[in-house]
Amino acid sequence: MSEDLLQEALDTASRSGARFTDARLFLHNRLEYLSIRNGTPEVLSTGDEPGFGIRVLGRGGWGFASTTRLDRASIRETAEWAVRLSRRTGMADAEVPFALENNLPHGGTYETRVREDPFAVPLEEKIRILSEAEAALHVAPEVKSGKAEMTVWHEEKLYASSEGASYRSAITHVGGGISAVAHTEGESQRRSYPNSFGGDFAQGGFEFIRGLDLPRQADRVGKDAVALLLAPTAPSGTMDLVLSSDQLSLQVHESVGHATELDRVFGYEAGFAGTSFVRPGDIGKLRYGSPVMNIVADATVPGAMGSFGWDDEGVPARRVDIVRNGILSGFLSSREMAARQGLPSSGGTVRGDGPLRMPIIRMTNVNLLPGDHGRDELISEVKDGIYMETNVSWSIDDKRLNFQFGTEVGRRIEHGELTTLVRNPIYSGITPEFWGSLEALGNKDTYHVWGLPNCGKGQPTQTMRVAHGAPLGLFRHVRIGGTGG
Amino acid sequence: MTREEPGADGSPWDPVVSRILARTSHPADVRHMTERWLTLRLANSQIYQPIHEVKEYVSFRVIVPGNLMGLATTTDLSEGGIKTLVDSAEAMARSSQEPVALTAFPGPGHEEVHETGLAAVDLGQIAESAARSAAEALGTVAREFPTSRVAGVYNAGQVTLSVGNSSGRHRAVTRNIYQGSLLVEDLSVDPPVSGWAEGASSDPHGVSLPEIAHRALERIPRRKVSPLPPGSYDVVFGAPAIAELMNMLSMGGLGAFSVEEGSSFLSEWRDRETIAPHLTLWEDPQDAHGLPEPMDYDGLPTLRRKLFDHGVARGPAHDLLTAARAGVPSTGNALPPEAPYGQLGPVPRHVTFEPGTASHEELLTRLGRGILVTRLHYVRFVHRQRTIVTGMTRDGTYWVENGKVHHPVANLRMTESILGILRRTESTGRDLLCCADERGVFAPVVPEILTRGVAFSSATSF
Repeated sequence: MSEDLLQEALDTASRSGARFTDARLFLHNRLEYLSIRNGTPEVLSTGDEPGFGIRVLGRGGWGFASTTRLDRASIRETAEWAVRLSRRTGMADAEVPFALENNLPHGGTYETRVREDPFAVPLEEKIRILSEAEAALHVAPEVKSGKAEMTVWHEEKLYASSEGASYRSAITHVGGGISAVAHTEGESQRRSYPNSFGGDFAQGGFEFIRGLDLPRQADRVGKDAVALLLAPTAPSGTMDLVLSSDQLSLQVHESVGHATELDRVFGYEAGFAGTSFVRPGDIGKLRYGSPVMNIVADATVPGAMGSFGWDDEGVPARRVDIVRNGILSGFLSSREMAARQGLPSSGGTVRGDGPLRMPIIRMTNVNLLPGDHGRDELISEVKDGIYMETNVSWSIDDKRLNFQFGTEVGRRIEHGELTTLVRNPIYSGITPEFWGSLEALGNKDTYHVWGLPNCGKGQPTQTMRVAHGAPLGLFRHVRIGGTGG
Repeated sequence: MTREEPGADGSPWDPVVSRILARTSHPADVRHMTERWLTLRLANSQIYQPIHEVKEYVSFRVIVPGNLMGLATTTDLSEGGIKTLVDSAEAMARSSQEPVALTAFPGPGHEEVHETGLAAVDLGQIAESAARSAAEALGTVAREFPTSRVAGVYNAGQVTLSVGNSSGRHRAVTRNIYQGSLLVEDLSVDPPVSGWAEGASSDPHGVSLPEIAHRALERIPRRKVSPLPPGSYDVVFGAPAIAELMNMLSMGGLGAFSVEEGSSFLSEWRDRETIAPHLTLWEDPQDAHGLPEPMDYDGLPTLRRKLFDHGVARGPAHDLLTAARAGVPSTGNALPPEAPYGQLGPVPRHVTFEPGTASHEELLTRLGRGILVTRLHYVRFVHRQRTIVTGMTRDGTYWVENGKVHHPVANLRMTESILGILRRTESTGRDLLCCADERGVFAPVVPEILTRGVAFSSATSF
């Protein structure tokens, strides 16, 4: 029945003379979000919002239409809208190029490996875990607010295209975290675990959330928040910087991932998300960073949030070199942008945020590959510097050059050892200069793939779930500045 | 009142709302939303992504014995879908171990909900006319700057929200939302010189891409971009920049959640003089110059109220739930209670200023020498309680000399306290502009302002 609906929609578009059509039918699009704040439920919600989206490449360019109404008449009307928009508007003077793909799926399936179905875990148990963790954050009167949260997404999707490609995928994402806000007159400090802005996320089952062990970590998190109230302000000046894996993953996201999205490079996101300092001709020429910098976009990493079987153009998940030995070596691309760049095929990084949004280029798992330094070995190479962990503030310009990041925690590094706790640490820089100052990377023991559930791009805004692997990183002579607080 | 009877305003009950409420015996409320949208994205001087979207969904909130609350949403409005919705929310509530402060939903009441006069929206016709307008705007820009690149967006939509609850309250409101923006970049120079303009209205004639293109073109100086060292400068902020700062202030300090967790400036500054005493800021969700939103997602009327009264900070925004916790009335600021808005809580989304008297030209004259900042990008809190943010200028940053725009400057990073900016504000523009997001969720109506001594911590090369 569902396949029939998809085929009928494709047929409607094909009769219009469209060059290419693809459609996605979400049978399920589930979101369960549970949060406890200060001992009471903040949000305990569950939902399932299936829908349908169809993309048509006609004589006038692209047209996209979507609906949550899944009856036959609404599906047909939606397909007709996509056709109408592809005729009426768009690039009448230049045909949209579109790269061929020789490895399209024909009836393929992809499913997340789930050991413990998160929807089968009793709600009482999930809420109990959060309540215990939240209560344990309140280690002192200074902790004014505690929060524990978890999120589960599950989407079951059918894809079909006018090229005869089709697949079915069922992807489950899970994650959670805790945070404490400590407060005294004139100062408040936040501390989170395992990461800020909701915690850590992965593709998998409830076993991932159990593995976070939130209740056992809460005491330390609460104490850290209180300790930060009394900590001195982070120093200012130029000094060596060691970034934790979680903060370095966000640095990769903002200054490499977005900057190498080929639609941004070609100016197709100029009106909102922005463009890029990287130019189409920079491949093989642009020195992005030091020779120890190697970055891949890899949608095949098991258990990572940016992994899948095929993207939303039917392109198989693949691994693409983005930066090799410090030199730009690739882009995140779609079939259209790959053709514009003259690439033989797409990088397979096109996804839409649910059924209602038009698929565009999104990050997958954009990973900074580890080096060979142990954690202590890397810290020991710093005579006078600072260690920063867990993002609290991030900002970068619309070409992805000038950035400033703040973290929840800083520690001075003196004569090769971590010493004083400092609060409100900030570092800033210019992207290629900063990556050029990368001297060493931690080994696999310091490496972690972090799930990031809130990457924004596109109009209407699309929120995408992506991931970034990163180890510990040592950068020399970085601009460090506190907020004076 | 039974659920089959007309609502307090005499309107019939939304049958979807009635069907859902009929399935529970507990205190409950329902939001039924129907949205139809047309979006035209422009990129590289062409219409690039035309989009049509229909979304219909419901959100259901129930309180079971013990004051335990649960929420569920669905797009499946079949009998089976609604049964699952109610069962899921009740199961969620029964699983909750801690009571909420809210014990019941408000009855019909006597408040008036003012609907805006609405024309029926025909998205087919709008698609035709918007495409023609886009072509006209692109043509206008191409004649002025043959080597330019234009990007932007046009959104048109109609949103109907029905809210009903088990206490007999029922309200339905329909909003029309039109929003557009254009970025013009002159590529004949490197780095390009750019100009930006935007607008939003509930009137289809209130947003015209050719008019927006004209405003963007007016701003572009025919000179090359020059670098400017970081430092402290006097600034005229354009309305889009002020809108961005007001939205950040709302989310970071003017909502009940931030006050509850102690991260809001209101924890220390409520009822104290916080910003310049000549400034009065309102929240006015019913302002006809903006995107009127007469009802919140609890089904309560929205309120015009002061956020800063001659510089003195007033209380935070509340919805039913946070108001019950605080023991105060709701301010009519409810957002949908489920994720993702549920995590944000109630915040002001229609901030406006008591306008000043100065025209754009007069503000520049008073500025004399300094920077005109059109727009800000990626503004984030560095220190929430002190309202210190950092963000980049974007899409038109110009040096002003002798009260006139002289040349564009490379973009700068501003690291400043929002309240500090408002404390040092010297003049407020007379013209207000609605700068809304693409779906009209945040829709401040704000002026340009002149502020002295704004801190810029670094610069870019473009």
